[in-house]
Amino acid sequence: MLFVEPRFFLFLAVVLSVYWSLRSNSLRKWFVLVCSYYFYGSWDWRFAVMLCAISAADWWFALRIAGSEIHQRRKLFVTASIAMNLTVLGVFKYFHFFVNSAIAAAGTLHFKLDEPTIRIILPVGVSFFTFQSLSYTIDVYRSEIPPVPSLRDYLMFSSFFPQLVAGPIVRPKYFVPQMASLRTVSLEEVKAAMYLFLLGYIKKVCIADNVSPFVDQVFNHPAAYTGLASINAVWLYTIQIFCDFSGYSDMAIAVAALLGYKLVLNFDAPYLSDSIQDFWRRWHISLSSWIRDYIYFSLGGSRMKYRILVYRNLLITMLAGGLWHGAAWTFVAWGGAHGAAQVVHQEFRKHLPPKPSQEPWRRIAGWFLTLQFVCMTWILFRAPTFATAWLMLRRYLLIDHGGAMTIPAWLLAIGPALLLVQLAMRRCDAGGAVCRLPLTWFALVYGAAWAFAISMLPLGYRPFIYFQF
Amino acid sequence: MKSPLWMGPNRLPSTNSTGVSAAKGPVARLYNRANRSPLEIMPNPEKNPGARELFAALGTFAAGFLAVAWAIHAAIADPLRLHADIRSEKLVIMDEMRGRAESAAFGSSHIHNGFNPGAFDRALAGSPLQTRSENLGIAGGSQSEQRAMALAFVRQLKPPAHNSRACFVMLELNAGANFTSDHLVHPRAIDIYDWPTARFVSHLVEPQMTFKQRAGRTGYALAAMALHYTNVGMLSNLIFAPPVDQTQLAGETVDDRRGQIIGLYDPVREAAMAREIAAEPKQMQLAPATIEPGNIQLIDEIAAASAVKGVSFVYIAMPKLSDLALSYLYPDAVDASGIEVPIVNLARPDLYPQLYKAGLWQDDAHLNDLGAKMASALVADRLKQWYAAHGGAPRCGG
Repeated sequence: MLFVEPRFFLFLAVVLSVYWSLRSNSLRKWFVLVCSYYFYGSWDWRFAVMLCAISAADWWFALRIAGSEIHQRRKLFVTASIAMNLTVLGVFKYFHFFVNSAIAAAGTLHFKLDEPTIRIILPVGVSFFTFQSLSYTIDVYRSEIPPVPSLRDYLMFSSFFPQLVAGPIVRPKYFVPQMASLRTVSLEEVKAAMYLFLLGYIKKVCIADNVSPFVDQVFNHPAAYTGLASINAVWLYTIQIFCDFSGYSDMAIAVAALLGYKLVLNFDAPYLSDSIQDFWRRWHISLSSWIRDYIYFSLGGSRMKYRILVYRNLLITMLAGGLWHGAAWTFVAWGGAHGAAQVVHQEFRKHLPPKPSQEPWRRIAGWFLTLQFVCMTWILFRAPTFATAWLMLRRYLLIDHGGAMTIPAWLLAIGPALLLVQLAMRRCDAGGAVCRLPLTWFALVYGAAWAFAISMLPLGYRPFIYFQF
Repeated sequence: MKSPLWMGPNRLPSTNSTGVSAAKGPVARLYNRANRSPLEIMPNPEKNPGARELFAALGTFAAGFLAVAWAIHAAIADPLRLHADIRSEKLVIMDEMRGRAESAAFGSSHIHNGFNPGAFDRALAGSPLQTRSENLGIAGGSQSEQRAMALAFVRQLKPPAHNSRACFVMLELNAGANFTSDHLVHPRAIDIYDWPTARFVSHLVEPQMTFKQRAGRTGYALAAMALHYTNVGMLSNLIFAPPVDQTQLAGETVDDRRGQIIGLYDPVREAAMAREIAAEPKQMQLAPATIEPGNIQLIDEIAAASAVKGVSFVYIAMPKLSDLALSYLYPDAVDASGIEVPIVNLARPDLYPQLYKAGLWQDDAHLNDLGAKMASALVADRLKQWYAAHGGAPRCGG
């Protein structure tokens, strides 16, 4: 069940109607729990059972960690939790990746290994809910939060349907306290949530889904297309991935808000970043803060004796972040490229005077270079193989002019136009202006916007890109 | 622990280094900013709207929606011309043949596969009915699509250069009323289901039908009409129109096919068809079939819309292998506002046994090219006989 499908709208209407008619917080939590499992089970009930089992196990581990005074026992339980979650992730997401990589490596050594006949289906959102579960037991282990005493509450946290399948990755220390009290929403918040939901829908359906066929055309047959078409396709993919993922996040935050819960900001205009470091403060914030807190800091972070060790930590963290995105070496390379760029940026920055905000030219140059780098690395992210990525990169840099096929050149204007729109919307606080309208005027504008949005619905639904992660 | 790489451990950005303030105002309040306790961000209770305000809001929502939907709909000049899979290629063929073809066959895949314009024209050559035709049938089509295509065809029709030619509009009598349910949310349906189309479909019901059938047929048309007037996907289709499928177009225009689609010959399939024909019962059942009011209405509408006078209409019932077990009996002709429309019922194994040979079938419901040639020649022969007995076809443009 995708957020953009009519059946989700029906599901949401039923959920909200029943939820707000319940007066007891306990009943509401039971109801949200049942709805969340129904939502997840709409993909495959077997995975809903698996989610329940993992969550229950982590809840139990956390209770044992908190209940134990002995450090070794606490360590044992947290290790068991980490091992369980990583095993689930490893088996369901990385099994074929590791096996195929081993077969390829053996092949280079002239050993022939047969491919396994078993095919493992990837449960939707597995990377998100395992990371969320991991953060819970680790936080309890670090004594940053107390364990959740109620199994129901923990199951609801781990399966909360608005963010279950594609984030934002919710941290228990922000979410669990919200469950303690009966949620309420103000009219202003309802309007803001409705605005955010529509904004997400427009990003996903009207923009990302409409440009994706052009991206697919070029990436599926890169040799046939001209250099300009390749540049066009890369820019379009840059738009597609942002609108797809941030659109989902907006809708998830909006749906949670309609239930009275607040989730973390996940995107903050990442293509306006003026450095690669700034980009990672704005792109997929819930993941970048997760890997910072649980990988980078666990490796020692920046408190290392030698700067090279800080860079090592950074590279390992970014490589892990790349691998999190997909079970392929191209994703690892993408993470590596971003890690390397951050190292270069760190070194380069040492030779520049501080306070770049006082030098507009430097900010503009930084923005341009960052955006170009991000665009180029999306090639690695989107291309199915290194060969395709290399070909697309050469086309993008106009080193190789290639084929004769094209896609409409006017599509090149979409990226700059959307950047200007985003800048203008942030400057004038468009969301705030709309939400501050009196209810009847808000409804008028909202109705008009929906009429436009559904006329931009492309043929067929396309799943959210980040569902595969 | 200080991080040089991302934001501080307990800080989400409220401003960024470009100096642009991050999301603020009511929308920003939806986010759980990590530097604040969730207990601090409990929503401010505010007076809830009363029933009157809610109804007013629903009313203005509908008003805003309808106003913009109307404006978008008015801005889309011809929804039929929006991209709609294989119909788009057929429209290209129709445009290219404008002024060069004065007759066309319409319908579903049975016509798309089973009507050979060249064979039809050759069979009529030298007769008073001679014409030049094209195949505008579309696989997966329906009566509603056949109506849209036929109306578009007659509106662009030019009188033939020679006044001695006939103009035939050949319609498939037994095409389905609507598309299949998976085509409901699809440009094939959405683009054409305006109010006249929905009304036309509602006239394709018969009293003998079950309530479920009638409700399903009309309900589909109404649902598609709602999607049509709310422009679902139309603007996307206009702005991000996919290119016409050149492979499909080439397959339908090579060797003067004029829209006919030809499958590859497959001896295995031919053997399967032979087995299927042999398995059919020896005794065919013949059941009476009724002409629905919509079939008559369609002729009236097309005749009224035609840019030239004297267009002749033909209804064709295309054959299927299941006819060997059960075949339908149609009248020889129907009368539509004074126009007598002959019905060529090829789905009669007793009348056309030569069509029911394994080598003429692509599958159990579609003729192959050999079958199409034979069927098209049979239609032409039947028309020559019929018009010889009924005073000849009217002169096109006269």
